[in-house]
Amino acid sequence: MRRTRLASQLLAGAPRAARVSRISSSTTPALCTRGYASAVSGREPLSLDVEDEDALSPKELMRRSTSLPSPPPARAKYSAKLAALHARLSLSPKIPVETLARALIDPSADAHPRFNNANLACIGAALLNNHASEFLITKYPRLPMTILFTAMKGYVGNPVLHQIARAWGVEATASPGEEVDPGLLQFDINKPTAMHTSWGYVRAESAEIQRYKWRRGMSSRVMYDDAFGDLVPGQSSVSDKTGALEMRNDKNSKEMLVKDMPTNAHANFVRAVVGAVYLHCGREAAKNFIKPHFLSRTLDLASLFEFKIPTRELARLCAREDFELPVARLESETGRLSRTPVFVVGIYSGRDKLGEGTGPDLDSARKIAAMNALKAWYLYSPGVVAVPSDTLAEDAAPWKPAYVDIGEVIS
Amino acid sequence: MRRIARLRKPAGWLAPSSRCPVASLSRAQSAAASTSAGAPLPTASRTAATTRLDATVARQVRFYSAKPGSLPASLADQPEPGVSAPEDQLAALEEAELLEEEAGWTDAIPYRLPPNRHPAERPDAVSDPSYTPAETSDGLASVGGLENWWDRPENRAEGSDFASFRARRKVQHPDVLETAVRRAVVEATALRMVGREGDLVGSWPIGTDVELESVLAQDVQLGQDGAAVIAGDFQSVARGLTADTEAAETDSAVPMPSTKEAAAYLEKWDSSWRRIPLADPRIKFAVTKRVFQLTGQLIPDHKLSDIHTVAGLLAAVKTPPKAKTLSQDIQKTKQDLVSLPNLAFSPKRVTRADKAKAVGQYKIIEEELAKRDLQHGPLSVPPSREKHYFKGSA
Repeated sequence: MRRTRLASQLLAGAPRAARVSRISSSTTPALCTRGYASAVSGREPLSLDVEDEDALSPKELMRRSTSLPSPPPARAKYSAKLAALHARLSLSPKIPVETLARALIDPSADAHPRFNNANLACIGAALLNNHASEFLITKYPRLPMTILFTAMKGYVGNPVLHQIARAWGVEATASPGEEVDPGLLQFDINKPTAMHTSWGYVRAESAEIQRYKWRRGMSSRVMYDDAFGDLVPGQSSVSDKTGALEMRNDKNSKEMLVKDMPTNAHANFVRAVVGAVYLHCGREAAKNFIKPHFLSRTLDLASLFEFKIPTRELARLCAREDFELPVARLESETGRLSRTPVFVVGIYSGRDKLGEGTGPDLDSARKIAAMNALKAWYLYSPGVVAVPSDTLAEDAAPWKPAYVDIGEVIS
Repeated sequence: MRRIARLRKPAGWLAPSSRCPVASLSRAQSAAASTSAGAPLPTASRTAATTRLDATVARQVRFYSAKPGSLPASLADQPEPGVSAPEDQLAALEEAELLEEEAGWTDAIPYRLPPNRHPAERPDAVSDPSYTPAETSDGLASVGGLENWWDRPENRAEGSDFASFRARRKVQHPDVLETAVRRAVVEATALRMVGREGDLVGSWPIGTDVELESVLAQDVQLGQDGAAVIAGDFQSVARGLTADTEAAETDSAVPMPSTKEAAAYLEKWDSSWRRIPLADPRIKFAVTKRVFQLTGQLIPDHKLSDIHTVAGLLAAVKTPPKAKTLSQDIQKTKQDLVSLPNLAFSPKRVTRADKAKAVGQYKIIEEELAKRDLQHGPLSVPPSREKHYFKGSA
């Protein structure tokens, strides 16, 4: 079991010599600000204190032969897009617009860790995953693990955050550079990016799992994989039959670290915004940002379920819970000999009805009834209960343990 | 349209009597009008030449066809003996000869009439024995013609150009404007105090530096009855405004104090003169007219009704200069709009290239064009090159 931090590996290749000072705000902006900087009186340029580990000589500072990979932070004040985004998200005035500009810069556009959103996305990812998981677990304590992973993806996964970024009105550049508007999302699909956002362990057998499609179970996923149950990717070297280490390009492309760059970039922007809110406004403000933007979305959990042999599973569930054996009873039927019969089957455990289902024949009706019974069990919700993060407030009531199920039925 | 030559002296001007007699085919008229050959044009004056002028004016001929029967009998003059009937051919004589013969100055008309047309000899009736008609036009001189006649300075009298009432150069500096307003107010007040209220609507001569200094030295105050009062020698001011003083030089710029002198004047004067009322329409008209004459600043009619005192007049006259371009104007006056954070202001037109650069597409376009060897370097075409194309150069 190898535990790695991926970000440092990917960022190690950042060129050092070409790093230019970002402090000077003397770059001419491309759009709409010619002659405008002089007219604006009330805006002072942002002064960054960059204690850069690779300090530039004054000669290099003066030369500026290579242009910056992303617009300097001082230009953030002059971007109408950025100001509009800030206002649209109703962000607190404590969050400077330069931080929002930084949140829009993916590591693939700019590898310098102080000028991209990798670290902000890291904080944001941790907060999002934490709040989403505690919300789901306390609200649906009996949710099976697969469903829980899928529900996490449904609330704070990459595709969802991508859609949220698009809904926030964030547009992407065609190609990142110094001259682009700071209010656009900047990423490059051809350059490596950082994957700070998935916490987990790289399995020892991760290469074999990916290459030979080895099975990994749910319990091991809880232990090793990330918050969505996905494999944390490691090195892409696989030894073939001869035992030699090989790095095949076609295989590497399959084991590419990031499969969908635009989605990843948009998602990381959203996480970076959450991180920025936490950084400038605190924990409570971050929670109050996450709840309405992410946790208020509707996800139909019932449609996520898929059962193999629901009747067996229900029988094992009843056995586990010491219920009486489930019995399916035909409650009503119509059109048995016609083309479209309808059978309504109810499953009873003793005198308690566990679930009901309708189907075109008796077997499918019974199966559907079993599925509904299982869903009713798994989707049980005690209502809106306190989450563990509520105890972090100063005036919080003492924590009353929430009810969480022992797990799904293994069948 | 051709400018109508105006008489220089505006004082006591008579009814317009000089209707331009256009060059006609009649010899008699030109003979009557000519005096000495090549004499300089006299300045317009009221002399006995007016009678001669009336005679020519009475004819009032226009350009008629050269055919013998086209001219009505009443207007046709007897042709000079020895000269054939006017024909369609242009005169081939030298212009100097023409000028010597007929063109001359009249005392009343401050311009030189174009010479009369001489029909050329018929080719089969040419007196010169060595004459052969030309086959081509190479080497032939182009003689005569009336184009640019009035643009040539020798055909116009000195100073017969349009004499404008308004000052040729517009005064913009606010201190100098204030001295001009003061001068107008002093002069109007002087005329009123002397009792020559009829002259308020007349025209006042511009005068020289001496008069300027003497007028600006006067002290005009707001009197007890609400009218302006000059405590000083107002009679000399009024005398300087009589119509019979004639300006010796024709082209005189309006004397104005320099900006420093104007500032010095302003410091001397107290602010009570600004409260002098301009309610009397004659006074107001006289003052605004004088200001227009001296400075070239015209107060439009819609602002006149809002002017009740000298202070109002000063505010209307002293307008701040407009910004050269719209974007400068906006940046100066609408700073609150421009400094909105979610508003992007561009002093120049936002082109497709700007939009492409903002999105990062521009460099991709450049790279792709360079890859295909279609364009190396910047994509923009300077506007001057387009002009060359239009003009036909390569």
